[in-house]
Amino acid sequence: MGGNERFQVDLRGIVDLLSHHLYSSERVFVRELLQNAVDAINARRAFDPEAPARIALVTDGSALTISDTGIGLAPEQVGEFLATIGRSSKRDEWGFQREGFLGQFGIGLLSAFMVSDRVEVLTQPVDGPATSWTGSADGTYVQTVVADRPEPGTTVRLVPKRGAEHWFVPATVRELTELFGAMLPYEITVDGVAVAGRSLPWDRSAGASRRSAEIVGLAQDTLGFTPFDVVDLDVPTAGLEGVALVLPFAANPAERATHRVYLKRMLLSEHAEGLVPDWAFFVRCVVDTTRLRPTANREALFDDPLLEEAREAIADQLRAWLVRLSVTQPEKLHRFLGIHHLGVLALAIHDDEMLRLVDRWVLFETNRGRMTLAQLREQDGMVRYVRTVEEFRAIGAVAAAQDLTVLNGGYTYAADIAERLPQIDPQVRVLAFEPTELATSFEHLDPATERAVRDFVVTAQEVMEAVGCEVILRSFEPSMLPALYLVDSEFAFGAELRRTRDQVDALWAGVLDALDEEPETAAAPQLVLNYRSSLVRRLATVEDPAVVRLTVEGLYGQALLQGNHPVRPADAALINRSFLGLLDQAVPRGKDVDR
Amino acid sequence: MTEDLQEILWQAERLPYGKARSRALEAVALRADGVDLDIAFAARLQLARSYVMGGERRKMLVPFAWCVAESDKDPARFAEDQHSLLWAFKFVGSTLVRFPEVALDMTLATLDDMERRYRLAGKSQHAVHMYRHVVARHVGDQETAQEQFRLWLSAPRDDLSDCRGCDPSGKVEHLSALGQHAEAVALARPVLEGTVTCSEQPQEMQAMVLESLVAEGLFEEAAQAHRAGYRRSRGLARNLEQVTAHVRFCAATGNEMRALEIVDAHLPLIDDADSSYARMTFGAAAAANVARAKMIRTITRTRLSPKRSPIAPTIGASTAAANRYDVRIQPVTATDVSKCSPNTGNAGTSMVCMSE
Repeated sequence: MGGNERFQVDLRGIVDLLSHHLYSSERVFVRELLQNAVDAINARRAFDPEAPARIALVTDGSALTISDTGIGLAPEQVGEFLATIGRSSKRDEWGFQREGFLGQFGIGLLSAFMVSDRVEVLTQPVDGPATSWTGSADGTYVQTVVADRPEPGTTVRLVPKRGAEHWFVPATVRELTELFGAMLPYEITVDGVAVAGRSLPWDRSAGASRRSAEIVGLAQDTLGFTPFDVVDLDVPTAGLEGVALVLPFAANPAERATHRVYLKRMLLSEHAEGLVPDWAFFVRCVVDTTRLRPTANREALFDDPLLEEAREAIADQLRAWLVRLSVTQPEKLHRFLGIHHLGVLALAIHDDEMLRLVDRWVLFETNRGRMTLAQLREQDGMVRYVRTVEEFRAIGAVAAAQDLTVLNGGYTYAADIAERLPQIDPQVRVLAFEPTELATSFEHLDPATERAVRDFVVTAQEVMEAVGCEVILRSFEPSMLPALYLVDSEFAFGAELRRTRDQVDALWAGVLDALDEEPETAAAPQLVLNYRSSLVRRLATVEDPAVVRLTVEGLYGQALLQGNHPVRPADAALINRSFLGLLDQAVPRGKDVDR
Repeated sequence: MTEDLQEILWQAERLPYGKARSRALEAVALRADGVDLDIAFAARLQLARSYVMGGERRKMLVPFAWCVAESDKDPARFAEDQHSLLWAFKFVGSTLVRFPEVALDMTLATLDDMERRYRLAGKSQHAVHMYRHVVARHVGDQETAQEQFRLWLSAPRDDLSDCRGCDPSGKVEHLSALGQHAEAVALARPVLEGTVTCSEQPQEMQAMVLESLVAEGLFEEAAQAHRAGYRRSRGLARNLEQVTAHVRFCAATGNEMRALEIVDAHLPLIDDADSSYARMTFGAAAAANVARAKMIRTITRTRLSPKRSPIAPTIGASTAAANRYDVRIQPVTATDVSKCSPNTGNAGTSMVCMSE
């Protein structure tokens, strides 16, 4: 056994990995070159704050050069940095800290091989000789000492490899430089034209009105909308500053919001995720951070405790904005809720403070008009809700006629919010309102009338047996409504369970049987006939059982349709029979011309 | 008519998971019956998933069994839905262990059916071993649990396997229960560090790994996982099992008052929990913590919050649920939940991977 041998690493293989698996596109080579230049300038300025800070890109159609006035490398550093992949310890010995020079120079240069087979570097430190280093995609390099440069710094020259020529088109280089580097604080030129050196849009030294114009301009140019409002973000622990731009139109809560993130003023991502909590889908952020960690490809933020902390802080700042709006600009808050109520509701499911805001400000649909939950509680001392829009439509008007306020819980999150209310108000009663409970608020007939119509009720009940429905006779408003069909969701589920059980094989039938809990407790569906309706009163006195039968079936069908209930095949058959039968009764007999 | 049905199905599918979505899908299914079998099938297949995700697990077997029967009648017609249907078999395993009313032999028979159907479809047994392991662990059959765990680890993954974010959380739970905490933490790490995520992760992993992080002395990471995971899970009855893990964690690390706050915030939701198992384990953890907190109160003379809901009914209900499991399962688990160790019983990870 000899000493430890070194692995042979194939440069082409590594570059292939980079371009196909690490980076989402070869375009990042421009960012990596810019980053190397910025790091070099920063490293030099750490010793000499007055050192020049210029980055110049030159395209001549056949090659791209990028020159910086940064720290430059001494000959012994060149081989170490440029031709060693993935080692970091030596860098620290050389005194370059990751924070400053980033120690990523080699990796950054490596990405150049994605678009070029030959990378030429000419570099010179302030107090040393110039070095020329030329690396080839086959994994070899040549390093020589050469004549001095005009000034310290580094120049990298790339010649396009076959198929990568489009990355060297001057317009493309310029656009990519602008995209990645526009916020950098140094003078950056492409073919002599300045593209950067701009201050951050949220920089306060520009004055309030200028600042606000810059921010709105940024939103329009890069995100394509004029923000509804701008929330300042400031998270010192993450070295994060920027703005959250509130969308002026409804966003889809299911889509993950993405944000524009700059890392030390270099664009990290136009579509970074995870910067804000999921509920804040109504903002797009533009931020610069000095301390959050990028992922290895430097295209996204690493989800670590620091990002978590930043996310929490941003959540607090967005929450505070909402609360401030409710106090200082309630009208604007209403407009905001008009656009983004879904997001606010989603948030209130996890957050008590937002729940209070929703309680006070968000209008919900009830059968007695739109109102806030706070108004509803104040009025009734309790919250009754139904779980579907269908149930709401079926019983809303009738419940209102009984002075019962019912919340439509069928809209997104409404029921979840209602159920959460006791967490901010332990006194409040929240009740899932089952439709059959409505019948309990109806007036019973007086005993004499009840006796008089008993035969009618018995006949009607026999008719409805076929569809498993119970008939009751009550007096209620509105008197124009002759019949009301009420069914509880639990009953409907039990019925579905038993129907399904009868058509599946033994194994699943057994499982369903085991899960069929207490079928007795769920109330059967009810057909409530309204004795205040003159039609029903007259019907109760009809002697002919055939007419009673057809009319009760007809009322059942009408109640189903009126309440927007599903019509099963058995119901449809019954309604058909009733309809034809009633027509038959209505048309006078004895005038059949064929007879 | 059918276009209308298609439209209301799409509308229902756009709602976020929850009862409103499930009610809307139920309505679509009922309306489609006898009118459009394809819509009736699509609505019910969605409904099975919606029940699981929307906090009404108990109901998922009904639309699921319906779909299985229809698909058996005419496999060619529903060939395109075959994958979704096989995927939904995984909800069955995780659901049945949560309801003591379903006999164990019946649960095992559904696993046999799952295995048979996966084989017929030419699929890996990866997911089948996972659920055989879950059931065996749940009933305390350590030998089978260990063997199925081995098979689960060695079976090839395929498109019916849980995603790379969800798959480890069941494994972490098992390793943690065996006391192999270092392995559990190592397995959890990619999810905790955010390199793999999905709709259920990392919050599920953040709840599952707490005990192992503490056992490994990684207190800072544990606190971080607790804070982040609890923030994502709290306030909804359907997440009660994850909340329970956070109660246990707080109680076990000397944060009884924090645990008490969590218990208080979730007691009103207990009736709405999506399974007997979730109610029982939350009740057990709550009872154990309240007992500790009372003891501490006696010692330190601090007062508990006056707003607290009474916990006695919860303990009663929890004990009753435990008794039902006892009837179903031999060997029995502890019956007096207020005395049981925080780790009694195990129904596997609380959610089901949805990255179909």
